[in-house]
Amino acid sequence: MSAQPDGHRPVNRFAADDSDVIVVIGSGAGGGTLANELCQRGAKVVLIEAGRHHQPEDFINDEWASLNQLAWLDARTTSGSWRIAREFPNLPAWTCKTVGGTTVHWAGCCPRLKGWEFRIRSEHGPIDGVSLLDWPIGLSDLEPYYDKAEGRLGVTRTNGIPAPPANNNFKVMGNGAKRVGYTGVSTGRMAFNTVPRDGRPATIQDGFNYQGDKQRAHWSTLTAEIPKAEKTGRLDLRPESMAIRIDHDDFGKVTRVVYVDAEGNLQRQEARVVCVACNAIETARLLLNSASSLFPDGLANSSGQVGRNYMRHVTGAVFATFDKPVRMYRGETMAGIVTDESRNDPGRGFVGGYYMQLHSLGPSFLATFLRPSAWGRDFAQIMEQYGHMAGMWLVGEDMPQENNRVTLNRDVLDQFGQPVPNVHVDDHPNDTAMREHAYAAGESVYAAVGALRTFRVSPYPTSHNLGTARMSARPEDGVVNEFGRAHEVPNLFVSDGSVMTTGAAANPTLTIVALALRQAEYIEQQLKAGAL
Amino acid sequence: MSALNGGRPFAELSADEQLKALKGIEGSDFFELVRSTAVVEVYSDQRTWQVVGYEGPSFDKGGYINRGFNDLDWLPDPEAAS
Repeated sequence: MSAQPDGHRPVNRFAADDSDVIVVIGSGAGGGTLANELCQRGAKVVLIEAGRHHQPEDFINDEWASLNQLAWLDARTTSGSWRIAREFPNLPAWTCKTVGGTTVHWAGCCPRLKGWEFRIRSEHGPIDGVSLLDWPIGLSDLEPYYDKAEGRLGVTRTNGIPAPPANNNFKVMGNGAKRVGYTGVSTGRMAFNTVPRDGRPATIQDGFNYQGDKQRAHWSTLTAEIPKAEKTGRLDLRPESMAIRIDHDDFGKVTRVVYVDAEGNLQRQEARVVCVACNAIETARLLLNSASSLFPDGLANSSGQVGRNYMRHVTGAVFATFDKPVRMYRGETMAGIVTDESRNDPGRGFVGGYYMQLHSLGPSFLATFLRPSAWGRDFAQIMEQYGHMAGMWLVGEDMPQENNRVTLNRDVLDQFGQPVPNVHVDDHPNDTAMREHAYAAGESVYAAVGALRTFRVSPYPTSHNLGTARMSARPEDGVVNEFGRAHEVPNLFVSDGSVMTTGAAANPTLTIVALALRQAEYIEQQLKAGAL
Repeated sequence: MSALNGGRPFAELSADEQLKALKGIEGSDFFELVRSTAVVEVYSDQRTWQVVGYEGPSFDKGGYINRGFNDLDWLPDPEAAS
């Protein structure tokens, strides 16, 4: 159902007034997986996606050209004390606007959440300035779906799938980590093929992950879930369709999705169930932009929690130079992890854990992010060491705060005349303490293998956006229940990282997929029971 | 720029004099526009990549699976080393 090369667009499979369909908005990790799983279970699904239907062969092995092809670059604004508001004020997050969503540029790290990460609130009690809440579910509820998700994604070191081989960049980080005494050091659980599997080839280690994987060795909803859904004959994929509002009836049930199609025409699709999976910033924005007389503060937002508790992980990077060549850009970008600091040990001066993960950038992105605004001889000399440089990314749990939130900026309208999202973030002292600890730990890893210089790189726009429609046991504490069903709108679901009650340390994609599989099963049960 | 340097064209200054002239306008909107544009242009240029040791697009060359993704020889495989 994709746009054809000559610009001809196929006719929609399902009629606009077919009120029996499930409309899923967003085709990324949550929406793309959910759409396929619902199709497999016999449902008719209209999948609305803002971006174009690029194919892997169209992806570009060049950082800036690729960013312009795949990234979500629609207008956004920022505020708050975070450095992003100064350094990248219109790019708070690096997500994708394309069929497949942000799975398209995902490197594939697949840690599971840990049991204690579902209940940080009860483990540590209230923390000043933090809106912590326990998840309404625990690890045991999610484990069966993690198992399914790992099989589906083809995660290495699970289901008998061979581990990734050590690449150059990992040899540096991994040896350094072992020398300072870390033991959880490996090439990781990764969602790319180390052997041919599921109709996709083994990786050729081309080093381009954040630019989209041209060879399809990486799992993405573009290359794995959506093609399978299309084979069922029950998927109606509508790319270049920007959802701008969800309408409801007098009883507060949602009835249709209003979107702008590729030609700029306003379209309306009736729906039995609507699932919102637009990534945390756009999900909150769509619910807020769907305000009505019945829901004056935004759809499903009587709690006032829509858009709040925005989380993006504590992040940062450490790069180091060496006297010998490294060539960090060769091979799978993130195939390496140190797990020792992902433990629950407030004795370090902060709550929550973090991972060190392998990471590299090309010269053009590195020059932009290494030291924003830097120039001059020292900067140029650092860049000249590029081939002798190793890198790691730091990713840990950040604290949810009520006022770290997505709101509507009514002073700035997008190309469809809709208020754009403003993203406000203030770092919490817990976040800052964790980041400092992680920087020091990363530097010690590289020092142990003879680093000449190390560089702390401040957080740049990242792809983990969570918490803006969080799960809660009580309706007053959050937006959705444990299945992602809106507390106050029975046929409205949220199906992306927005639902995560807390952020944990893990890269969220595996958890988003597991939650989507669980949600699909629940929706089918509810449909069969006549409850939807 | 030349007005800042006694009328001499920037390109004719020595490297030290150029640096001094640039320091004089650092932080201005003009400087920031030129700097941010130059950083992207210079480090996206294949000639720069050759200088700093980057090989650019690799998919069309078959990736690095047979071209040294693991050829670093001054450290062992960390997992094998344990």
